[in-house]
Amino acid sequence: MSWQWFHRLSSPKWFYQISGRMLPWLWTITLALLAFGLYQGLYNSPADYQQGNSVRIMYLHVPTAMASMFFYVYMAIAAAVGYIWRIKVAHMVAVSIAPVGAMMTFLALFTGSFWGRPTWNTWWIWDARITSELILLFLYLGFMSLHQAFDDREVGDRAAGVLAMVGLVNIPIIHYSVYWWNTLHQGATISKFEKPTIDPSMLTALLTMIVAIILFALCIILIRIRTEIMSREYGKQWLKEEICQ
Amino acid sequence: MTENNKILSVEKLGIRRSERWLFEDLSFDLSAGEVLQVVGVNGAGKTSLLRCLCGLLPKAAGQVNWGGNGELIPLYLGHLPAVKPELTVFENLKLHPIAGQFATDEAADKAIIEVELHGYEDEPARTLSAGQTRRVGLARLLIANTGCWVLDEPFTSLDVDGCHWLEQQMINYVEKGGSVLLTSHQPLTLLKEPRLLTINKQRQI
Amino acid sequence: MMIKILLHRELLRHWRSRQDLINPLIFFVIAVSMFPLAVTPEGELLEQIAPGVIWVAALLATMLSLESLYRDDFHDGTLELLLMQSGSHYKVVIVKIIAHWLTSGLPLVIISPILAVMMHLKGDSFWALLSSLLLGTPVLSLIGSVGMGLTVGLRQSGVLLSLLVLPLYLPVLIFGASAVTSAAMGMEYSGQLAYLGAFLFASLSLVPFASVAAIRVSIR
Repeated sequence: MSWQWFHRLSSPKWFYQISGRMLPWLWTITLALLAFGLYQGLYNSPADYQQGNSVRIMYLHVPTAMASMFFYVYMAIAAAVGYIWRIKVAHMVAVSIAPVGAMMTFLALFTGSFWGRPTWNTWWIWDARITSELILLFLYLGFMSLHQAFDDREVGDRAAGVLAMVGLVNIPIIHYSVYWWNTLHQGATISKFEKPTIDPSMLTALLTMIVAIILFALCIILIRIRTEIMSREYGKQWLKEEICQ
Repeated sequence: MTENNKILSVEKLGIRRSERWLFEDLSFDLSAGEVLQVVGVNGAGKTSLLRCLCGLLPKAAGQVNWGGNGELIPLYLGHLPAVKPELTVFENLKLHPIAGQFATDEAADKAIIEVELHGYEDEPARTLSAGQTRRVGLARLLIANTGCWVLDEPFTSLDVDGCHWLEQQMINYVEKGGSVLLTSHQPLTLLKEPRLLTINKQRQI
Repeated sequence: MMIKILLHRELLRHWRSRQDLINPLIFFVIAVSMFPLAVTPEGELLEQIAPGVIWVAALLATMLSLESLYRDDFHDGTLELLLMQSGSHYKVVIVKIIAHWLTSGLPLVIISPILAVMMHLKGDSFWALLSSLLLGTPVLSLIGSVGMGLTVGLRQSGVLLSLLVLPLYLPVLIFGASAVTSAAMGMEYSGQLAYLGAFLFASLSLVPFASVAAIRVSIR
């Protein structure tokens, strides 16, 4: 039963149709959660006694950081599935996740930068998490650059797939190395993002935003996958019918 | 699984290139002592087929089964000369594996004499002309200990004598039970007409 | 037997184009020399930045040398011949990586003491530098082979190669430079060396698979 589902998922046509039906619902849920989360975070929860209102950046920074890591893993798994079982849709998924994941990483770095500024008067600081995020951004950019360097997208898929798998194995190593490096230089970094004392309303807001941001990214990724399907299945009869509906 | 005298068995092979199917559903067999010539228009996929059979191009669908339970390594001569310019002719023959083995000194010397490159053994390959470089590749045919030759436009850069020579080698090889799979723009003059495998979008033989 | 002859081939071909091997070494020296010029010639400060500078320069020099792994063989057809006719992709790739390290990584290790002197690194750090480079440069060759395998068929692959490979090099850089810095401060550095050793063993076991997969993507 589940193999059948998996097999159907690997057909671009089926994926396109299912995602087309799912998207409106997903968007509704996403926007609802975003609205609720932002309201909770910006209005309904207290400011931190130490950091003041700037702690509210956390509601964007933490979700985007988590999304960036989560989606890299997903991208690598999709690329691996595509590589090992030669499923085209899996490759399309991986290729579509990459730019969104990279953007999430960039947002995490960007919001992190703003978070530090009022409190520690600096736009950038080399603490372990931020440095790890930066390296993650390089990994995403490497994947994207490698893929687009090939004229034949299917060859590019496989090349980027190898890279994604190598990156996945390396991420824990890089993460740990950066943390280890950071402990050597304690002076420079008083954990910049000290977790503020968590009030329950803050927790609700944070969790809501995490789910909301991940769903938001997912919606965009689905749109990208659909576009990728359109691009690669160009000229096929089923696609013409779908679009003309 | 291949039968005992089947050198190669191909089932429903499909190859994609540049995001398009070159061909699909190609099936054929190659037996010992046979010559099979792949024909088709330019761009039909002849070179891609040969490379795919040799494992140099991934297949998109189907099965490729080489004889000897998949252990047979054919000798492949493609468009690229596979000759290192900074190594000498002798080193080029001795240091590159051929069908899973390395040539002995005597075999390499003999082959060099056969392809009329005697005297060039210790010359770096970059000093050779295109035709001479091609002959270094052909020397590998004489050294190879394998049941099949896969040749992609082997007559390129050869003069008339060279072409006759190669055809004679093919005749000898086939008589001893070897098989040849090749593409060629030139008409072949062998003892027997080769079997033809036509590649077109819709398929084959 | 096959490995011996393949290795013979690799070393011979590197030797015949030995002028290409010198360039990364020269780069290594020049890159390190730029820092006193750019920052300060003061011994004390140089000593502080020396471990990092030498390690970064070693990384970059290794990256420049990666071309010699596959590029020529790819373009004259011998790479596909080796892969196909040897019957074993892994042997070919491993031999190439070993030869690459012997001709690029090991020379870096050997001339590093000279650079240590130029950067005013003292006594203990010498050994730390040598041992960290000795353990680290093979890892650089190994990981680099994956990047090189993926990009060998592309035009303008040099910059792309850096983007792919440098993030993966960072753990080696962190522990390698830290080993030398610790030694310079008179502290223990065996921990860092242990990590480097772990990286070496891990890459020796895992990288060949990725490297073979990478080069097979490029050959078509």
